[in-house]
Amino acid sequence: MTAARRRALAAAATVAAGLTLILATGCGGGEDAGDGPPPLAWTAPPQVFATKALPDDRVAVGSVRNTTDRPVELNATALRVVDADGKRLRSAGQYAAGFAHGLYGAFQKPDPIPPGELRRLGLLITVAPGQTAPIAISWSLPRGSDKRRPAAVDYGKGRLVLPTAVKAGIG
Amino acid sequence: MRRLLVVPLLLLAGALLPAGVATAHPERNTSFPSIDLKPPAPGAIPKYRSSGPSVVVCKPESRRLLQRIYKGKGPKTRRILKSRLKTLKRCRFRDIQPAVNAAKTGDRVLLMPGVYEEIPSRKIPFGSYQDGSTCGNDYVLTEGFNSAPPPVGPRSNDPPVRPDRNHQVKCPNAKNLIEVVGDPTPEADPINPSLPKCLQKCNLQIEGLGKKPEDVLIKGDRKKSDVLRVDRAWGIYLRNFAVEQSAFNNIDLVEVNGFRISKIVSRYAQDYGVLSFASTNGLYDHVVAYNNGDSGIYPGSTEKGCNVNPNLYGTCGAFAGPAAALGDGNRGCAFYSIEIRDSESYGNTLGYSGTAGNSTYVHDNDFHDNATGLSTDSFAAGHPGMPQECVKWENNRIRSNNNNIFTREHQKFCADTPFGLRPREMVCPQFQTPVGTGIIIAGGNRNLIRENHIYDNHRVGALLFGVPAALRGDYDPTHQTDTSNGNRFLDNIMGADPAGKRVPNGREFIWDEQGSGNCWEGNRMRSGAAHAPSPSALPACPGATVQQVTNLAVLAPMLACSAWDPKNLTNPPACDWFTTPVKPS
Repeated sequence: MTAARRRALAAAATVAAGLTLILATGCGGGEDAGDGPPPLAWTAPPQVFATKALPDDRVAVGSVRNTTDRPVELNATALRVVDADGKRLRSAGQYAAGFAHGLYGAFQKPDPIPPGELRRLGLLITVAPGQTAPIAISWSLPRGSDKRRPAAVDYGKGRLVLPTAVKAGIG
Repeated sequence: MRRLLVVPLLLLAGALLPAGVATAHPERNTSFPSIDLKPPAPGAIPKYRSSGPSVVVCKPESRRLLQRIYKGKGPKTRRILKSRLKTLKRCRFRDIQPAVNAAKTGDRVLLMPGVYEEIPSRKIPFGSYQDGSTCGNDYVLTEGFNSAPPPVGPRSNDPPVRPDRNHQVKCPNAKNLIEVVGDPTPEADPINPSLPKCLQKCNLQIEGLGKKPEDVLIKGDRKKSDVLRVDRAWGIYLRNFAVEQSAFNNIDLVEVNGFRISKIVSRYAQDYGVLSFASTNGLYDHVVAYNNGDSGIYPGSTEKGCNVNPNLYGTCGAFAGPAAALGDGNRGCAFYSIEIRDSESYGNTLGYSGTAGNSTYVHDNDFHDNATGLSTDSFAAGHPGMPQECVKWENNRIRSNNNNIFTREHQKFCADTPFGLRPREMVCPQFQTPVGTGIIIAGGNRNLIRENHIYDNHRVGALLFGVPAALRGDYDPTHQTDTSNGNRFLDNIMGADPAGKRVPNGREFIWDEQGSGNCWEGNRMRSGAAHAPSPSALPACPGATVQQVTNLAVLAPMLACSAWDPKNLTNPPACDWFTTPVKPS
């Protein structure tokens, strides 16, 4: 399989995940998976990128599946990347398949931000059993850290291991 | 990059509703003037009138200013001064709002030189939702009000409500320093307002009688949302004055069919310099917009220039596949709703932006020294006219858009200092944008970018990428890949100024490779081999006839920038948009 083909398939998977999420989720709410095994699994290994301008930063893009038989509510504020020792790294993410920004000006956001807006931006979503959602998460590696050791995404209800292979991002 | 929006409770399922019924708008819900008609809406750009009925507004210092402005001894200057002084004798108003109130359809409102602070309007309380005032209940509730989970990101003290049309009609100066209301009819159901029409104060001409726009200055108080709001007053002609320091928009045209904004200076707005929304048959010319926190010029939610009902979801051509790529020469784009020419926009976060900014003809302008020169997009929910399509931008200079207003220190000052207390010249970015970029087309279709000079943008000359419909709140599965298709970049001069001097862009183009029918042809790439586009082989026209998928190497770093938050996360990991790009050599 060529690199271009792999890339195409991965991108198609990301879009498909987004569409699945759209079809699978309601307007928030739903029963949470609660305690038990971690509810999410990668649908395929995510891809990790770094740009020339920020060589110590990473962004991972992929999709996750709810492997439980109950809806799982995901809040992007819970997303963290932890290093191989479990130490939190500076990180941020959302459950979205593309770049988007808020409806409200940076200094004019209402309080509270409406749930429709949170959903649109992939900040607060519900994934039905068996369904998938896109995810993008970025993090900064501390200077001098071992970049070959795997990190993981902590989404508040479990962790997903991140690959160490990094591709060149175009910034 | 887009306007603040409200999503009313009844329109939660926005994807299933006609796209043209605006689910959101800072003031109220809107729709296009062409409802029930096929565009173009009947109407026209108003013509300038130098005679006819008028009301005159002046300040005590107007006489002195006139004598100073027209102090030459040439016969033309003396003739103008004499005429102005004669007009001054008819002055009956010290403020603009009462003159507008007195004006009838077809009148001219003549503004003598001076500074207009509109003190009576300033004294009217801004008001708030359910505050017991006359208009305290005339708001559109944002969905989820009082039932939402804890918010993410920075907060203001505003509840998620916006004034509806009744508020604008009944209390015009609560939120606006000056308002021209064309339709005074109360709305029985403000969530579903009546169709736009002009019943009074149509075809007004508001004109400054100085020599240059700054001779007549309308000065905002940094509290009122809009300095000058034109609401359904069709045929308005604004000419030869300066506006500044609104808390939102300096000039705001809503549901206006037929307008001209000419010889206007607009500066120091918290958000937009000049904005038109759900409007058509318009012309901006000789506008100078600078130091605005969002964009200098914003023709957003512009009526589509083709025969589709603008108030329903629809596109001017097929949005995917062979038809998108191989359509006729204009790819379904038939005419232009708004023209923008001979204008200059600089020092803003964006020189131009237009969410759902369809069918604008933008030519012979200069967009420079912004963070990003121009952007048009399909990002935000609630803008009628989605998805964006059919602009023609040609013969513009798009240069040196490298103004980094996202430095750590700058952002900290902005976050710590409310708008009212900032220096008036200071630009605090309302949205994140990649510093050093000439053009962004984010989820657009069938746009034609032709024969522009695009140079000295240190990141990239032009950036094109797709935006899934879900990100604008449209969850219809059939709409998800309705961008970006059929965009053409033709015969642009990249990396060289009009004199032919090489002034490279960081890269000429970056494209995420998504969509169909996107193509590049005849562009002269002068930046050099080190600044080649990505991908290096851009498709010639007509472009791919099948949908192509996203190159994640382009998309992923942008995704990291979604998390930007000026109070809590000024510099998201892996987002390089705010890193000042190295000057290309």
